[in-house]
Amino acid sequence: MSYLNLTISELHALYVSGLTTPLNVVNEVIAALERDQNNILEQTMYEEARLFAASLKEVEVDNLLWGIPFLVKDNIATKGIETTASSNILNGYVSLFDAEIITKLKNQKAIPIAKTTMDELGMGGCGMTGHKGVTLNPYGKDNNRIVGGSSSGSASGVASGYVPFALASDTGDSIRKPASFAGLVGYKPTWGELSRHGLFAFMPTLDHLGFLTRSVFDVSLLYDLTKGYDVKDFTTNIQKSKNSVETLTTSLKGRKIAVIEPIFAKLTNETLLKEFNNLVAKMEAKGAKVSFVKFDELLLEAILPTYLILSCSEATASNANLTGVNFGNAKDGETYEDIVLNTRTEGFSKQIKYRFLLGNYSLRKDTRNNYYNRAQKARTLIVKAFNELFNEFDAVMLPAAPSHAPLINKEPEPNSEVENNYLAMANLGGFPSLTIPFALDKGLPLGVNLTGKAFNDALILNLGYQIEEITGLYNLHVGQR
Amino acid sequence: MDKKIIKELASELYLSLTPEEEKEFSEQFSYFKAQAALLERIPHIDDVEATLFPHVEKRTYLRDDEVVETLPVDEILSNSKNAKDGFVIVPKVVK
Repeated sequence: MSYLNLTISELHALYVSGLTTPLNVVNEVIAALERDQNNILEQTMYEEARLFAASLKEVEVDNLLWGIPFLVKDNIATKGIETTASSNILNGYVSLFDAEIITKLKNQKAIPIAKTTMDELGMGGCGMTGHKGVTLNPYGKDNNRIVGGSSSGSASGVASGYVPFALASDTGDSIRKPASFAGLVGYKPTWGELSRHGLFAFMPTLDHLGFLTRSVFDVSLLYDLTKGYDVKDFTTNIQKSKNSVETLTTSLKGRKIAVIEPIFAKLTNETLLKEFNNLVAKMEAKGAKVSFVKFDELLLEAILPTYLILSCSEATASNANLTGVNFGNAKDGETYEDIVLNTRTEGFSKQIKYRFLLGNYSLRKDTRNNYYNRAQKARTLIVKAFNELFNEFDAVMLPAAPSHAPLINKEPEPNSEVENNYLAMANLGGFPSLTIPFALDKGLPLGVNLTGKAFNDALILNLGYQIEEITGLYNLHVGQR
Repeated sequence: MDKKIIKELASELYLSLTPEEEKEFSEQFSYFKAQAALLERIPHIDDVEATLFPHVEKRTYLRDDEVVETLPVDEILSNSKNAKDGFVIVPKVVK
């Protein structure tokens, strides 16, 4: 019997019934990871995982994470394991501590098993810019599609069925876009719900930790078990939020959903449009009220530049500590300045250098008002406009991407920037945001996104669960049992 | 974008660029500026209050006066390629 391609709940049921053990499962996961052809791995933790699994003897019936293996995006600190965020500048850097989220999962007896590839330092949306090269999407018959980024290895690994879930991070759409391309459930909770202690900072006021899974129940469970205030991260929320699992089965009756018409009008994929409209009809048949609403198009167009300016600016500061002196992949130099210059010049890829230049330009004394300061003001207006919508509606619902996963070597379809980048609004406002699969287009997954008011995590997950019930796309994966 | 400014920006970031990178970045800046110009079209944008964080909770950042464990210095320095006796060694800074 194979133990791959199972959700957390399914694997837990096997443990409880005594049909397998964590060590059996871990060994099978390792064998599958060793056969992987999609370039998902940075570092492995196989021996640590085997030891941990072997120590788990008595199944904890009420602990669904007991013995569950998982993957970790490589910008999350793991004690004793090289952690590079897929950047050459951090080659050889070994974390001295576990990120708080890793500690919480280990305390639940979940088993971290490998670190996954990503776009370098989280800056990218294609899974092609990390120092190990292109990470592939397991969907598509010719193995030639991107899986999206920046959480590329985590997404590809979960879609391949190796593990039930992976840790990931999301600054613009880095969990929710790959989820769409890989047929996964991808969730970033309200900003501050999960401790970011141990997450490498990209843009701290937009950075979120989150999860990639193959069922809404699993992502709800993970959210409930890992959220909460952490003294080591002063941006975690003090107010206690509702648990989500217990309200997943609440019906759609009376729920009010907004579809932003100016974004929807830009979509052209016929299957996507047909399936989305089918979904709307089915949701309405279950009592939801779905409205196509107007939205200020100037503000929709402002989402990308606001994100771009703010994220590049803060990234220059967040990564200023990457000098090679205190840690990292130092290069030689005759002076202190030479060491820093050579380390950074050789350590960062061209794309990262370009982003830093944009950030530095936006922060300069003579240009700051027209770039960084103005983007902060645009952020106010964008967030205000969405909050006004959330006063009237439970959630905004839209396709998470204009189409299925693009081919690696093909130019993207000529969509505008709006429908490709609107998901960043959830980072600007810190809103809870969930992508789940809702249809297949010639065998390739299409994702739908739900985003709601900050702290309404339980409501967003409830809506996602109800949509999963409608579509039946539960535990979608490409693996073979 | 003027290549002189590109060089200045890179220098401030402790980055050295190849002539090809300078040329490429100079051309790419036009896309960035076109995107940034979209913000100018928003009426009265510069009169709006800036948003720094998604939400802010009232709290105190004072911690209890308790002893907590911190990482040993030797462990912290183990990630530096050139450390000795509790210090990171760099070439002479004061000239």
